[in-house]
Amino acid sequence: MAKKNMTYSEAVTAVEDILRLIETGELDVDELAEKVKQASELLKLCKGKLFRTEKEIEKILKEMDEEHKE
Amino acid sequence: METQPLSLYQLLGQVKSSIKNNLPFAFWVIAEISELKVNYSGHCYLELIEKETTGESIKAKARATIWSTAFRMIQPYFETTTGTGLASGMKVMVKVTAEFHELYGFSLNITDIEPSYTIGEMARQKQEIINRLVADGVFDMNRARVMPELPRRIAVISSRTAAGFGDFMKQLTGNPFGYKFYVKLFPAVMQGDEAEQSIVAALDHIFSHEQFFDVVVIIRGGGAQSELNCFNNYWIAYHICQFPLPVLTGIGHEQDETIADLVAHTRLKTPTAVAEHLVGMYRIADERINDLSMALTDTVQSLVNDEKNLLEKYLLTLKPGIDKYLERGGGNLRMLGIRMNAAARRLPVREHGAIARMNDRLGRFSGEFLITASHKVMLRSGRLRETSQSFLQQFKHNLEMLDKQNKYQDPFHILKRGYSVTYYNGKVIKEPSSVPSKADLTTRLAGGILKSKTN
Repeated sequence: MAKKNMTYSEAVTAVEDILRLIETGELDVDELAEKVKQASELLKLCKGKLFRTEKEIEKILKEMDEEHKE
Repeated sequence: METQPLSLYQLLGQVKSSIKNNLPFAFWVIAEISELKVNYSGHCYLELIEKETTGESIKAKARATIWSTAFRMIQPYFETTTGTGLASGMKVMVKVTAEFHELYGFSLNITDIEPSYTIGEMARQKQEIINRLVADGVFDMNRARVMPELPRRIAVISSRTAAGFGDFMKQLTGNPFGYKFYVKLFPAVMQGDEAEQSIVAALDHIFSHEQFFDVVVIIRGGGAQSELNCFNNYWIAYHICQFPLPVLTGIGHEQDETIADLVAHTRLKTPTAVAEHLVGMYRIADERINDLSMALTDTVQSLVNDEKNLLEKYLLTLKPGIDKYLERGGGNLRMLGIRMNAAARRLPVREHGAIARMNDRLGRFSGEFLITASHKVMLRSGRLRETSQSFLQQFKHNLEMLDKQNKYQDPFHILKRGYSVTYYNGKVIKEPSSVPSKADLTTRLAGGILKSKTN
């Protein structure tokens, strides 16, 4: 499943695994829909890592700056 | 011989003249620079030393001077040849004359320099450090680190005010694709004697946040081509080697690689080049996502098309089959009904009830059957084939069963097998005792009617 703390590499690898699974045609129609949904969520997560600002990271950086001043 | 005591000036004057007399020419001398200072008027004052071959203790030391007129020639010559300026810790081969002054004491006056000696010496020193790092088993360590595919969180070691750091940040944050990077600067002195301690301290500081960062970038803020020597420092290299995150360098020089470059995971020429490299990695990641996205769409599209085509094919082949079966099934049932009615008409009235019930059952059964059939035809696409097949089989089986059952119960078929029905006074005889003697009997056979008389 697409987890928030997944790294880019993990997410991309998961998508590739799903793609392989679909390509080999081993999926049932019901599973297919589920997997495609999962893959597109993972791809969205990957894109987010490229472009989106993560508040969490910025917060840590800010804390580091303050620690540095002391 | 009794002599008058000399004044200090007189004695030192004698030292001065004896040096002048005994060392009248210039000599080429090999020494290490331990201190170097250029004053406001452009004179260069140095301290030259020679160490014991084994160990660090100094066995000779002398002051030296390069007067500004000579220094103006020597310095650029040395720098263009070696790629670095004169600095402390450097071994040099210089042409000197020994001088003595009553007030200032002993000093060497440097008039020329042989840069190729320093180049060879630096290369030798560098090789020694490399050998030491290899012997310590750390030389390849940083290069063996896994570079994350998406280096988002970047720890930078540079001097805050350096032009190179500005270039790096501009290139990175101003990337035309809008990629997001997180950069934290760990300021350090990037040249001179303080550099070793300062850069190592910055690395230690980053190490305490190791899990947070993806990569370390060491960039030098432009400036003179000289003063690169600290990047050939053993301890800086040693720390880079063992750093748990991959290190990228952009030290900004065109000449030989420094040891820091050699041991770093990725070596780039300038701070701008490091930023371009990082943006390039994002670009690759971005394209990979796009490719995957397209591959996924294509695969699913073709899969859905295949499935659709297959279903259409199934439906096309299945529909006439089902229609035919249903038609035949209905036809058979109708036929059976007609035949049964006909047969029933030929049977006594009291049998009519049973026949009617049977007919009813048959009707219900075929009705139910048709409902099930149409329901099943509407079944979901994925299981259409299997379900239809098994359904058809069952259907066929049911029809056969039905047919068989009817055949056995149709009196006509029973007669055909050789059974007969005998009537007396229009009633079926079931007990021989119910018929008197000399009675007229009518026997119904499959082939026709037979008249007879009891005796």
